[in-house]
Amino acid sequence: MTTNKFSILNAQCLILIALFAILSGCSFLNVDMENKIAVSEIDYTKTADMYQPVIGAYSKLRWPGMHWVSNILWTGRDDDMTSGRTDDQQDALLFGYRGGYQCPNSFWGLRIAWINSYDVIRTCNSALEALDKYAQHIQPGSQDYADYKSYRGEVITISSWMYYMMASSFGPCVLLKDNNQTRFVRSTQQHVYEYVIAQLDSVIPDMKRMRPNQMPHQGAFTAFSAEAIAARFALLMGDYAKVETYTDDIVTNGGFSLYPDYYDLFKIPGKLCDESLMEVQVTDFGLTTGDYIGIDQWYVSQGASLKGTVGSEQIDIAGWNFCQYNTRFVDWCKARGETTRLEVSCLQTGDKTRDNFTVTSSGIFNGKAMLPYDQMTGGNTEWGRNNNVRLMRYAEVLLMNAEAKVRNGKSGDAPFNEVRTRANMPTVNGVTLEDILDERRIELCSEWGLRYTDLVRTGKAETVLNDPALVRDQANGEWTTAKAWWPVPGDQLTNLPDLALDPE
Amino acid sequence: MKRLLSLIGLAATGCWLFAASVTGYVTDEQGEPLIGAAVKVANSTVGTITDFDGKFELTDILPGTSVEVSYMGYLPQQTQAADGMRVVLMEDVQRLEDVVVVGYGAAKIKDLTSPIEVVKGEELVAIPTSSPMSALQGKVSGVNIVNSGAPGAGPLVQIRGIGSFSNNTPLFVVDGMFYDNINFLNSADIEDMSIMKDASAAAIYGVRAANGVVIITTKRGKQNQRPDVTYDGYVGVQTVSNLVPMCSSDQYAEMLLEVNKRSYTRMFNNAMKAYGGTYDSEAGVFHLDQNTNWYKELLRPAVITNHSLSINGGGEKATYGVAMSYLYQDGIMKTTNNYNRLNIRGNVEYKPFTWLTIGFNGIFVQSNQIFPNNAAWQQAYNMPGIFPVYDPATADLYTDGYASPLTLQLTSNFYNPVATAKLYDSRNKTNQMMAAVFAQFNILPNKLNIRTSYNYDYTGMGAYTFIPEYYISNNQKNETSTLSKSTTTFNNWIWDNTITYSDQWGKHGFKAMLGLSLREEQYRNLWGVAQDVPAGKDSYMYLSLGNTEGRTVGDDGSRYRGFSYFGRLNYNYDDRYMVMFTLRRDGSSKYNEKWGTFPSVGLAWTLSNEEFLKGVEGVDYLKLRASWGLLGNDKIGASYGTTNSEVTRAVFGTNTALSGYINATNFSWLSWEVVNETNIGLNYAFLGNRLTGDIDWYYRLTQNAVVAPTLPMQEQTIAGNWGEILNMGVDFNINWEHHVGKNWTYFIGGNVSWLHNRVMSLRDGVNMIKGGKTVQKVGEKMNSYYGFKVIGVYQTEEECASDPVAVANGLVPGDFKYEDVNGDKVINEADKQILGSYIPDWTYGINFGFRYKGLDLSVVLSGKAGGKIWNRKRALRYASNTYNFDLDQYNLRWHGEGTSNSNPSAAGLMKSWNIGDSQNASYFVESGDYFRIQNITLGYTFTNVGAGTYKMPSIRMSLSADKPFTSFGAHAMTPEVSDSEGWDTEVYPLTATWSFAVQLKF
Repeated sequence: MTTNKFSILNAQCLILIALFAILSGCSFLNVDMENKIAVSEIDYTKTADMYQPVIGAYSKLRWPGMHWVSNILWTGRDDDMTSGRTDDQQDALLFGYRGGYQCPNSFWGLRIAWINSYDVIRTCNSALEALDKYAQHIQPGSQDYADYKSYRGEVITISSWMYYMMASSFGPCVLLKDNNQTRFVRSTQQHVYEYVIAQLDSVIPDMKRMRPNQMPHQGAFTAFSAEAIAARFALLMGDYAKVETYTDDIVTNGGFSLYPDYYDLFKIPGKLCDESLMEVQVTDFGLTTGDYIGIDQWYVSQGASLKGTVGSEQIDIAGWNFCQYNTRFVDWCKARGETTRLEVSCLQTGDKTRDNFTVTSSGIFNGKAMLPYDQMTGGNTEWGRNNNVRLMRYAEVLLMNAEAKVRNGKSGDAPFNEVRTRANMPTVNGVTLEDILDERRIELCSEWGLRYTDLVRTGKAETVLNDPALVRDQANGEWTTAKAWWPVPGDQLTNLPDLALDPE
Repeated sequence: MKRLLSLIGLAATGCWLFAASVTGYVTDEQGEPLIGAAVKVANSTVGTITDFDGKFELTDILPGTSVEVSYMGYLPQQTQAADGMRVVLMEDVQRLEDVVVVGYGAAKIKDLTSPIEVVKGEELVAIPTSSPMSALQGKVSGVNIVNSGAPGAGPLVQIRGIGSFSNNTPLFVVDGMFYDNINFLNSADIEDMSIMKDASAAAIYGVRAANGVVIITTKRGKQNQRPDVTYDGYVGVQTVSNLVPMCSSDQYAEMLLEVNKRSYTRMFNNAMKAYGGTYDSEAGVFHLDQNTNWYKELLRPAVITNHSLSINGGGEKATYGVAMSYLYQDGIMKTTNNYNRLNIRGNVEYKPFTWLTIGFNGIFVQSNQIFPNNAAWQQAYNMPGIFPVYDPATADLYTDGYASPLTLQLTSNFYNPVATAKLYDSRNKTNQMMAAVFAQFNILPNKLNIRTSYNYDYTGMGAYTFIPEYYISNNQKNETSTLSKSTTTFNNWIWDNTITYSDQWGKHGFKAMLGLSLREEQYRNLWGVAQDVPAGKDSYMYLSLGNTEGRTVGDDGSRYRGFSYFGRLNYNYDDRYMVMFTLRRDGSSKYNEKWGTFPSVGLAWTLSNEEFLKGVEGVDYLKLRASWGLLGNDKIGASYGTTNSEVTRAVFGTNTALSGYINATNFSWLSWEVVNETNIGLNYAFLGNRLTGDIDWYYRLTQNAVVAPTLPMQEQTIAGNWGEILNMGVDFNINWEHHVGKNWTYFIGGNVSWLHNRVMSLRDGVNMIKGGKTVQKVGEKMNSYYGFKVIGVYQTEEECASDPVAVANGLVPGDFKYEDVNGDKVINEADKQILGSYIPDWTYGINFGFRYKGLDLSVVLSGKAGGKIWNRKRALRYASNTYNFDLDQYNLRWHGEGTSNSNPSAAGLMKSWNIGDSQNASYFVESGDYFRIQNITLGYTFTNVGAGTYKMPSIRMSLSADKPFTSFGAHAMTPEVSDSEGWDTEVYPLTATWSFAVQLKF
């Protein structure tokens, strides 16, 4: 028995020793990360995949670039619109006339607007890095190389769009030129404008000169999209010669035209029409439910309650009731004799829509965001589902062109009247700057806070936004030039002391 | 061998006697027979156990042979065999001879150098909870347990504070297998639990040990044990213990009219029209007929019952244990929500040779959980009582006849809570199997053995959530039924190999253990979602029955491996000085840096065994302990040190989406967290062992804590081992137990834990990190609330006019006055401050009771203090002005100068200045302190109940009230919030359980 024991001991010891030897030597602990692809494993020699990082940038622009709360802040700044709701998200009202432009830096939506914009810009930077890695495997002069240059242009157009939203809401902002950047001092608006225009100028010659709906990747941004953004920046700078150059090129060579029906322009038939310079695209793949590449609550947040009858069925369509016009705007439109644009833009309680639905929630809502029931795929009544977001339209280009021309001492009548005619408004001869600004006010209402930017750049903000006729529900202060631009979000200030420094 | 020993015995005594039978009996100090005491010939395997009368018989033995008599809970005795002998065993009051499991081995309590709390299974068995850990509340110092009332929900368990921003779950080791919780175990299956609080005890589990370790041993048979058949069962009723009183419909109307009579009158006129009521135009007051108490509509008493049957026993060579139990717990939410669990357990050990023991241990668990929709709780708080649950007038418009908030034009954010609760079906079915085999080679009996064991756990979960098609309002609807289904599996195994040697040379005791362990954890998850799946039958719950178009699927998984070797060295000199060293070297596949070393050392000095204390009146036992060690926490995210590419899609034209990728711009290089812990403690027994207890001071510093500050200007965070967290505290236990005469015993005891939790540092240059709900700030408690501090309420117009803050923000009397921290007369982000954290400073428990003959009573009280909860129920008011108010918001509101300096006016409760989601006003921070009667149990035990010739060893019957009373100040259903950061929203209320339990031993 004794011998037996020891042989067992020996055997066991041997097993243990063998285990140590085998296992410490072998790769027992080398396990790959599951369900992940390491960036280091991307094959940049496969230039057929070169568009993939660009797709990533478009995807980021859709979400989270288009966040509903950013939208209610962006659009709720002028004298015509407010964020709408007085219960939920009351703080958003403080970014408009109703709340006296308090702009509390602790509001969560402010942070979203800041962070999500930089998320898009950062993704663009990393897409450019990836494109450059592909380029190392491409012969200059080849078709692939031309594509590479054009793709870079698309990516820079996306980041420029985001910079426009930053510069026209936060004013001075950080130029994130590189993802490894460690300095985060804000740049002055002038520097932001110059930087973005220079970037765009450097890629416009490489980009495709066609409409987005003619692009092989349908709806991808073109040289004209880039020029339109550049024109917006030039307008902010007051460089009207540049505005004229950019927009003239678009008008003359772009092949764009206004979509004849102002109503359908914003609905499903108007998706990627010939008026479209930039659109954020979504799709439900023609399905009522299931796979949907959409934009979260972008449209739902703007939705009002509609009630209607289809066949024998009563249909209720509901949204969150944000983004509302004030009655003064409706009165102003009526006084001007607006018909089509007023009908399409403003949905007031009790109004009947073209498909005979009644607006039941109280307020005046953004009709551009409304989809008629018969355009909703398979009766899915989510607001705006399957509709693209229009970033830039040819109408805006025409009005920028008209403004530049007038400012440069020329006649802006032709582009101006093109816009008016489509809206069933009488043409005007000898159009003035005032006419153009008013035209922008109605044509582009609820779009990106352009009206607010117009008021600020033309110096009208102080009088218009402090108009005693505007009803304020919280008696807290007036608009001043110091409040023209949003403050840096509070938590960003805490995290990044650089942001407290004066812009340079 | 027997003969050889007998001969030695013979030679030693010098007597000449024939080998013969020896009979005797064993009693306690009171002369009561001890049943089942082990009587063994010294240094042999020959032995027997005592019968019902405490009698035993040893055959084939020489009188005068040395025999050892031992019995659980009594000090063992060595004596010489003599026929008719009587052995009186002294009670081991301090349980010094009890063996506790310490991880890859066992040790006697007297040899311990660290604080290990042992809880016996019998203390848990009659407490009506689905998870064994819930029953520990108030009983163990240093362990914070937060219970939940939801059926089948396990508690939150934290040992000695929280020391990680990522994961604070202790390691549960069930018969050698690692788990994150033991919610699957049946209390009656547990032999004992060892809670290792300090580093020197836990360090043997290395990289898994940082959050504390609880070792659970399931019941098994003992050698030479007669079959022990036990039935344990209870049946009880759970009722809600606390409610939040809400405004009645009339009070609600009064509040809204006080704010704006013009705008809100219409709503109440509608309510009157629809559901009846009158308007007293003179007083301007509505008297509404409809007054729904939504909480009451959602609640009901619910049953809980458990039945366990077990058989344990053993012979000379084999031991066995078999058990089966069934638990059913209904939820107190008035809809289908419940939990049932079937546990089957079996183990067998066999000694084919003296040098070999082999064994198998298996636990099979099948459980079904039907989840409640907790969103209904929040909705019940928000929904005013002005409309009913069901409305016959609109029955044909809305699903199942539910009343719609639309009827009263309540749209955004209003829901019928009962519909929310009922139009929901979410279930999880779990099949879990734990199987283990082992072989132990006893090379030198009681000295040297080698053990190898393989433990395997398979857990398979099938879950689905089905939301039927329904329409209650614009806001509360589901246009097409949706079925989400998932299958999750865990496949984990551990292979442990240890070699243990112990010996005694005179006064030198020595024990050494060396081990090698390999493990793998594999997780797989597959899910799918489909629309338009038919409702009505469980058998319809298949994705295949839904629309083929638009079905989505996804899956995920992970696989980690660990490779460790470890050792432990114990040395004991004369039961006076004890030293223990442990060292574990852990390799982990989770990180780039693969290997880590975790050492510990423990020292103990039993002062009471020193000459100078021997014979000192009143001092029975005194042991001083000190220990230090390093522990790892690898329950944090894995890191392979690479950036990853995210696959995404963008749309190009009609119905066309292309796939692309987004390259992450940064990556984390992570390693495990390290806890550096020092513990100093004292065990004591005074006054004839009547006063016993222990006290421990600890200093636990988590180093390399993973913090994830947000990256500059992005939502993305980057995790790194940058933080430091301190948990320092004192755990104190004191117990007084007195046997007054033979039949009468009373006891009283208490435990209290003090915890000092602080964030010591975050990343360089980072002073604060904001998460979703709470912040981490250097020098403050973890998970602190952060917002404006209310320092009063504006009382008069003059006061408002003279305060620039009030002027700038258009404030009126009845609005909050916030502390202007930097004194710049502007209230903004810079004026936010720390407002408290959910982590309690104090947890305590008190227990007392008595035993008189068969009758026993025990009472446990418990409580916590120093923690805060975030009343998210109230804070969600920002989402709608017309939400209901709780009664205190009505009673205590400001309504004129001097009426309140802490509660806003009715109008203030609708203003974002006071209630905005970005303000985080301290108004929403409430005390988490509570005091509770944890448990009262009254029992009676009948012994040796005869039925003919058959005698049942014991029958015990007991009545218990579990958590019958809780006192707290917060406006909450329970101060125990299942959210680890203390957010009180959608919290399933805690229940009081009234139960009757029976234990039968056959």
